[in-house]
Amino acid sequence: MKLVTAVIKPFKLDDVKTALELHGVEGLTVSEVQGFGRQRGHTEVYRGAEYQVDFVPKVKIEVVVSAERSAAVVDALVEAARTGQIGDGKVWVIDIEDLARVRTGERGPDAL
Amino acid sequence: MTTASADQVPLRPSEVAGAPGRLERAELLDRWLTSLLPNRPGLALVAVGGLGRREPAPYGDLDLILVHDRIPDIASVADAVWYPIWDAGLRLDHSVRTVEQSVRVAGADAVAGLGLLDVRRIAGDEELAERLRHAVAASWRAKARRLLPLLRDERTRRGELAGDTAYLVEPDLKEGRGGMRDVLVLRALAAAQLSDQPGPTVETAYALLLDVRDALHRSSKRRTDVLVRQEQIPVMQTLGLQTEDELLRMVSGAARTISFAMAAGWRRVGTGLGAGGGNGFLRRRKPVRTPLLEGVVAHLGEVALARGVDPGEDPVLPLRVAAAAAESGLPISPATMAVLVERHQPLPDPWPDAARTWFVRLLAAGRGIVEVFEAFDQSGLLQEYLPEWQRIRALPQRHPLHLYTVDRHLVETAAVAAELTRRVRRPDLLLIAALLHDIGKGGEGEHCVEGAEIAAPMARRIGLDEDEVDTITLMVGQHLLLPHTALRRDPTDSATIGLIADRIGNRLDQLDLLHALSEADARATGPGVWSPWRAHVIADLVHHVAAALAPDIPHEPKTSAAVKSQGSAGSNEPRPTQADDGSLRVVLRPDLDGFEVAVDSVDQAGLLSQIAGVLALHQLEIRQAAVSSVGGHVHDVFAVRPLFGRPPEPSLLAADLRSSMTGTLPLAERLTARERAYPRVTRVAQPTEVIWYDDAAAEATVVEVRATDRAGLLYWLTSVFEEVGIDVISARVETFGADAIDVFYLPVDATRTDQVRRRLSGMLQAAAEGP
Repeated sequence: MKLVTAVIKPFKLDDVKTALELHGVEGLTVSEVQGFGRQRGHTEVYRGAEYQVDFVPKVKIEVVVSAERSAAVVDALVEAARTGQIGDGKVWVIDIEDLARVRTGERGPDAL
Repeated sequence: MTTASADQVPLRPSEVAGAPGRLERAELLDRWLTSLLPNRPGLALVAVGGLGRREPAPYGDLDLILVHDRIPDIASVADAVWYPIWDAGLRLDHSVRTVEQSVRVAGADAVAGLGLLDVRRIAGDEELAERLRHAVAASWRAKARRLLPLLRDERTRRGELAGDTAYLVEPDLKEGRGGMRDVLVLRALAAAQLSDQPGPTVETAYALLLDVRDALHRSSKRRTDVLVRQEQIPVMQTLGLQTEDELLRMVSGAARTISFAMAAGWRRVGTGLGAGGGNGFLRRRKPVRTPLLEGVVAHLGEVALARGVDPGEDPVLPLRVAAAAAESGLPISPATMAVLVERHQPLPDPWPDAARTWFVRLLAAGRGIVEVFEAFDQSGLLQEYLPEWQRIRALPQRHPLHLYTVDRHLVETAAVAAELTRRVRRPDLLLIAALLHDIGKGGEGEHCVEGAEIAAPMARRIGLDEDEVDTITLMVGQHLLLPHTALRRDPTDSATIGLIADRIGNRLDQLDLLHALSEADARATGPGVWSPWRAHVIADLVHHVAAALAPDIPHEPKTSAAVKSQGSAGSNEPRPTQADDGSLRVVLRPDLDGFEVAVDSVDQAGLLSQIAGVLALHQLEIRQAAVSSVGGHVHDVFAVRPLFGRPPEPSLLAADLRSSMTGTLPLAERLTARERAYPRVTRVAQPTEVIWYDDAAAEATVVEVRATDRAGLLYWLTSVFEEVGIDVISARVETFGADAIDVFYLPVDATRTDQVRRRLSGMLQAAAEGP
């Protein structure tokens, strides 16, 4: 089992969600996060007032999938989240040791 | 003491609902507890709390006191009583006391004193239990004066924690404002012989909350008083209702009744408890009437009508009372409310200017409007002024983020919007749109679309013109546009920007309004909804759209007649009065909502500020002004309203103006003194905004000052220009309720550099905010 984590632009969430559903992903966790990557913060001028944008708002998606599906899920995610512009985000995958479904107590792949 | 073991106690029949169920539980518990007490003289088991009142909740606590007449081995007796109860898995609040100890506790702690009023003998020495009952009742009556303020503070604190039972989507049936505890307090006020017993409507409301709480206990199998969302369906089914909305509306109705009775109860026991109450509790004070607004005074901590004011003669009076109450944070006196309900005149359709002005000023008051809306809602006046309110009244929200019912959410949104008025060119439209934005909820269709259709005729009735009605319609219809787009579309994409620009008619002023409305809406929804994250995402979108739109420029004032003439043509139109000595002419002309003052004079430096100062000195509130100077001749027109009573004679104004022009009238000094004598009631404090525009006019630089309106504001602002030697070419002043937006046209040369502008901005801010 793999944990696929992606940090994407907020407005891409709907597209990504649709793409993941097509790939049989049945649940995902979304959080509102802020950060910066190579794009860095920037200075905005709005109505004469300058403000420093240190962190850019992003959405973080976490989804647990079976090992064999993870590559396809990452591909789908990247495809759906891409705008081609700076700040599109990142996706990373890590191994999961164990998994449990709280309601039933099922363990491992059964809990997916 | 887990809830699972409580299930095994044969004391909780689960099937009988309502009052019969409560009685049955009480009888079973009584019988069982009786069997636990050894039969000895000088010993009694009494119950307080729910069992004391014969209404124990299915999973409630037992509040028991073992009363004794100084029995030496009382500890072992107590163990014999308490242990079986603990073993049965019941939650037990227990104490062992003599009558004297109980009275001491009741006299020291208001909450304990309140609880002991419900004391009831379950088993044991009858004479002893009766002695206890009499002693605590007598002690309560004797010490009420000292205990009630403490009890009130405690209730306020609890109420703040638990919120309003009437408006929360997950109401606290017991501790919330308007919850069951308030009824116990009302009964305690009556027990102290300070007010009447709660009436049948309050008792019915209390019984209803008890029924809901019992059903909640049975479906959740827990000791809880908060009607959480997941239990609403089972509770509604237990009570035989059709929908959760029906359940929440019932709870809301009951809680409103209780809350209102509670507020009246506290006022009855001690006027002057509210703001500035302090130690005035239960003490008769010499009544002092402080004028708040025309015809409205503060009296014994309440808002009341001034002597001789008749609501029958002034249809706008209720709105002025509302504005005064919201701004001062004082409750409206029940007697005043009753007179308003009985004697008020219906407002014409559309509302006159004065009605709209006071309505906007009410909305601009911030937090204070919550209580005012409640009072107007309870009295029925709100539904009369805004009949459409009925559709969203006490309507629950079916969204996990929402904290309040729709009506309360609207009022909360307006209260938040009052903190954001500096960000927009039209504070009045922001406030009205905030109050109406969800008016379309509760129907079949999409609430934004339906809301826009409902809001348009409301805005027209409030007296807005067609352009303003369009803005309100747009804001209500599009109030989700920014948050939805920001989360679904690329803010840098020209298609996204084009979409937003198109929806808002390419108007930057509308974009600002929508932006402020989005924030007010989210902040009024619940904690954490307007997160920095969300604020940032939306600001980013707004920023991109704003950059694509043409700069927003204040309209150039017309040279004359810029002030809307509001005088109605007709034979009975009041005649203008004037003072004219050739070089200076002052004309005073009544209009529907005050007066128009026109001043014609030979120009001289600082004249505008002197006129503004003289008007303020004569207690005239400047609502609009258009000033212009052509060829050394000045023609300034002001729309003013007397703060109190009649306006002065024009000759007096002219005389003061002449002495001010010759330097014999110390305007600044006199105005400062006046301001000290009439301190303004508290308001949402927002910093003054000063915005510079370069391209607004060909021959002038434009500076816009957005500030809280106050007496002499225009005088203080224009004094700044006089001080630095800049001539104001023309000016336009408008007030929107409590906010003023003053636009000044200044010579380009004098205001070119950033340094000069920064200095001027600072001076204008200081001048607007005053000492």
